[in-house]
Amino acid sequence: MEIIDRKTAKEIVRNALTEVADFSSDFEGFTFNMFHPFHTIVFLNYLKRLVNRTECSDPQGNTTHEEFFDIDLNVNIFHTWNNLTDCIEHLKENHFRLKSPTGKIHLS
Amino acid sequence: MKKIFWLTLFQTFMVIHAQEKISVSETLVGINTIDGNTVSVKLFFDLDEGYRHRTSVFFRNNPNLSYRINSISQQEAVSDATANDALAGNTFIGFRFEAGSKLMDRIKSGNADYFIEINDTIRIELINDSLNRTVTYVLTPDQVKENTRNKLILSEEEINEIIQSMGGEINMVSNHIDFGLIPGEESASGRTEYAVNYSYRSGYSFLKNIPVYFQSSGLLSTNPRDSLNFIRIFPVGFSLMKNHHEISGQAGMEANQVFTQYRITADVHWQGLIPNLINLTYGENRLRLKPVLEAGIKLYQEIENDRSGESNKNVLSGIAYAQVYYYIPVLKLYSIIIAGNTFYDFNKDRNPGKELGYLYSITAGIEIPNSGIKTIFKYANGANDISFANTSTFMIGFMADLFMDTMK
Repeated sequence: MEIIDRKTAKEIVRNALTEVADFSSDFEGFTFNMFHPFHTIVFLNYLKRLVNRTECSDPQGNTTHEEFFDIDLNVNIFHTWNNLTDCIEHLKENHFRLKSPTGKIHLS
Repeated sequence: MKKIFWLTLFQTFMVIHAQEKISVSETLVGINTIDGNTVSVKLFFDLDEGYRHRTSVFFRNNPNLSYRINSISQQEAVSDATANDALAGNTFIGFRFEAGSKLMDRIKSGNADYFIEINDTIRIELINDSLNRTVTYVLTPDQVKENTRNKLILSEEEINEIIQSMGGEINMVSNHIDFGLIPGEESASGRTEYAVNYSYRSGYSFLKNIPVYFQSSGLLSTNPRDSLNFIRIFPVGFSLMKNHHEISGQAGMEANQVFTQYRITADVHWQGLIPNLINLTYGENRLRLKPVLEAGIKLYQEIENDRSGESNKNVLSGIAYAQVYYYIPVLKLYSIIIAGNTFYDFNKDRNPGKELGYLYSITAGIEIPNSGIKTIFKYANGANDISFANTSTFMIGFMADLFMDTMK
């Protein structure tokens, strides 16, 4: 895909959240209040990894491995999120493309 | 052939110079501390409604872009601030740098005329998806210089976060300090006591990206002889994290608050998430966090102890231990938090009955909309593995904010 739209961002966040918790339906209203530090770091690591693995396309719509999606994450950013909706919006607004380092292929 | 070459070059030159400069609305400097430590300088565009930066053509349009941090007043000081990669976002472009200590030293003060120097004019293509219309602008080296000069500033907080994360990503989320009040009827002394529970873990800035850390934690109070009080200092720790698992080793000392008992220790432990064991939501959609489990082995040599009689000789021993943090949502609004530590000391002087020691707390809470989870009651019972002295407390109805209680 050319950009990470909201639907894709929500799917990425859902998959990262599944690594640290179970839930039965929509998750956007959940907060991070009861996260243990270990939940936080596992969640952020998976979020980053899933963004990196999101399929990146060239202008013709073909998948390219020469570029990949990434996002800057840190604990201060995490603490600005009141709930999972904030996390989705942050991902949608702040992801970017980088050139893949030589020899490093980001598999989708 | 020569004519065609010069004509093409001239046309390219005219096209670039005829194109309008894009307007930069804001410059932000940010950090990334997850899966690497980097500093990014982002220039945000002033975009018309419906337009976004067409990132898929950015690297194709600017294949030879390079950049570096430069300074008017301290040119000799910037030669090793290497560029990692340019980045292209929907509303911005950015310049990313590896977060070395020298780079951070330079840009934290922001007082040396630092700016980003690019080698060539950047082509920026904007697209309006609904109109299927593209417009091309340019971003010149002068614009980049103007919009980054004296703006390359990181706060002390951000620099500390990068340094902390150099010893392992979990460092910066583990750090906390909580102050508490123990009512007279619950305290060992019978007086109202004040307590502080803290944990601090940080990497060493000179060990770039080597996950070696300093760690200290403690529970200290105005009743220094409270048997649950402790202090731990580990000058050297090593941490490796993969997926849901972290393996750490650390060496240092542990003591009670008044140092009538203290010992040198070395500890290796695993921490990870395990599947949920119970579901008490009864169909309500609640976030059921997976339990956090820690298990490890600790060797220690006592230096001082306050045991009496035959058993007061300082011993060399080992402890196997496990800890758990489990948040259990109940029905629509209620929660239970179980935090526990169990341990077994292999030394017969320290543990003559060969018993399993434990310290646990059970906290019940209720979720108040827009105000977080408040405590209904909390019960704690057991002994820590330093003092071995048993105690229990029961607090009811204080409706305080629930705080992280890991029993460490």
